[in-house]
Amino acid sequence: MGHTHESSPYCEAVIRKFTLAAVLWGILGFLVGDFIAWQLAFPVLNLDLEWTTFGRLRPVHTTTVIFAFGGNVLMATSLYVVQRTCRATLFGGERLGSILFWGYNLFLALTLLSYVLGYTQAQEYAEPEWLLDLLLLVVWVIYLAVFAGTLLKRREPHIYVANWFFLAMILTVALLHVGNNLAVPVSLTKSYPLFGGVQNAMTQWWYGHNAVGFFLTAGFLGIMYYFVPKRAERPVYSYRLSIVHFWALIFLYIWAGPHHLHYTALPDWAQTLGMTFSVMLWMPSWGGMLNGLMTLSGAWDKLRTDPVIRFMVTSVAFYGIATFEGPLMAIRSVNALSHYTDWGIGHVHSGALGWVAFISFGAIYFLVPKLWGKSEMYSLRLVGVHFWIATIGIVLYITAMWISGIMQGLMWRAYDSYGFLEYSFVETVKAMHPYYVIRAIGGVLFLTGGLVMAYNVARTILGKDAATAPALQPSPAR
Amino acid sequence: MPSAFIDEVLRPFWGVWLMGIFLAIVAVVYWPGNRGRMEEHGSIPLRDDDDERQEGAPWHR
Repeated sequence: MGHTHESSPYCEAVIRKFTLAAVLWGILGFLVGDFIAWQLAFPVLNLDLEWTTFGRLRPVHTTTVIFAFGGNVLMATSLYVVQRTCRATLFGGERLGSILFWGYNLFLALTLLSYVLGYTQAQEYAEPEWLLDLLLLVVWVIYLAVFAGTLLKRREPHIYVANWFFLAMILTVALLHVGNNLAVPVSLTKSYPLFGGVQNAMTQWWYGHNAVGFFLTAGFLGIMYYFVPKRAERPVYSYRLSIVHFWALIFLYIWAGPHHLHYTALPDWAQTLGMTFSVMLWMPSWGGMLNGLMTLSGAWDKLRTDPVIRFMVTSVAFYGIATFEGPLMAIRSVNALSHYTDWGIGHVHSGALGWVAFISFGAIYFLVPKLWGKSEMYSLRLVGVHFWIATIGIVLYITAMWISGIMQGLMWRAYDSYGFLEYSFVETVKAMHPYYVIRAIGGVLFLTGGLVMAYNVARTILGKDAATAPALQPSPAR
Repeated sequence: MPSAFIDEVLRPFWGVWLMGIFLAIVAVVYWPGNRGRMEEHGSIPLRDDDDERQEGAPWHR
């Protein structure tokens, strides 16, 4: 496993495991995502097998990228950050950390297998059946114990703000997981949700939107607040603003879920509540984005010279783009056009690829040399290659989905002078075909970038110390 | 008595007291006297450098 720092006062073996798992799950998640993107363009790729249909592989993709890639990144970074900012070793040590690692990844492996075999609770992003839900609950309680236990034994009097975001993520995900998975089991592999009808829909999107708000936003903001200052070698632009960012986000996000249910049986007041809180989220989101970006003030040259910083800063910019677009789409009249179209898919991916994945890549490139005792990645030039391939991939993806989605929405609502619908459904599908192909090509680029990262990570771990290899010097400023 | 207080005051006026708590947080954070201490916390990540890896560091156990 290469050289490790025997003298490290911190538990790092478990963080190395989570980091490696994140890289591997990431590749699988991007691969499955791109495969189902090609399926949408060329349905023959469903292969006429029940296990490889879009319906089964789509949750495999979402669960792998969100909970397997994202989850392992969150556990790696949160357990790294909490030890360092608290100046305390991990609560429970390597042993409990190892139980957490294997427990969480066992849950993921069983869950993905269950989807392929056709077992699902049919709740979006909460598809695992009840037995797997219970396994995750146990694992998550261990995660909370490890993280909170480390906070309690800290030697640094103040709890650094990144830990607030991580802890909010852990606590809220526990609440969401329990609330949305209340179900009545009828066999070992089948259960029915406790709530029915619109109550079920409301609970599901309370869960679904806060999975975005707390798992994919708060958790990754924790990464931003530690790794951007670390890599830029300067403190966060305004620590006071980071605290206001935290509390505003926590107070507002939890109410925004109903914007997923505009023009449904959900009462109007609840829809308006969701819309209003979504629009209010503009303020903390942009405050946080500016705080992250301004941390670079006085060191903007690092954007040219350090591709790892480039990943992090671009991710924060994408956070700004996605959190501007989200509230816009939550406005009921805009949602009338955007809902159920590819615009939503484009929006999600500008956040998922641009924000979540890019800040994760930045953190992985920061962590790998530290964890394996090297002074830098095997090749910073390859980090730069990854950055540009992935960025072009994202641009192709989101522009294709914007055009396709808005076109789709406009075609659905178009009617002629007699009041008849102008287009049949299949005509809209046919019109979207070229954009599906462009999106899938964007996915190929993003996956290629992931493979470049995996190669670079492997060479860093297996190679000699980067400081001794001439090819590893940072590219000079151009 | 506490349940009546919850039902008649806390529940209907949740928006008001939630906003009150938030404004109190903002006031404390941006209170001029707290500025130095607050911004000092921002440097916590920069103080965990590699010299802390040495055996015998006070938190090593």
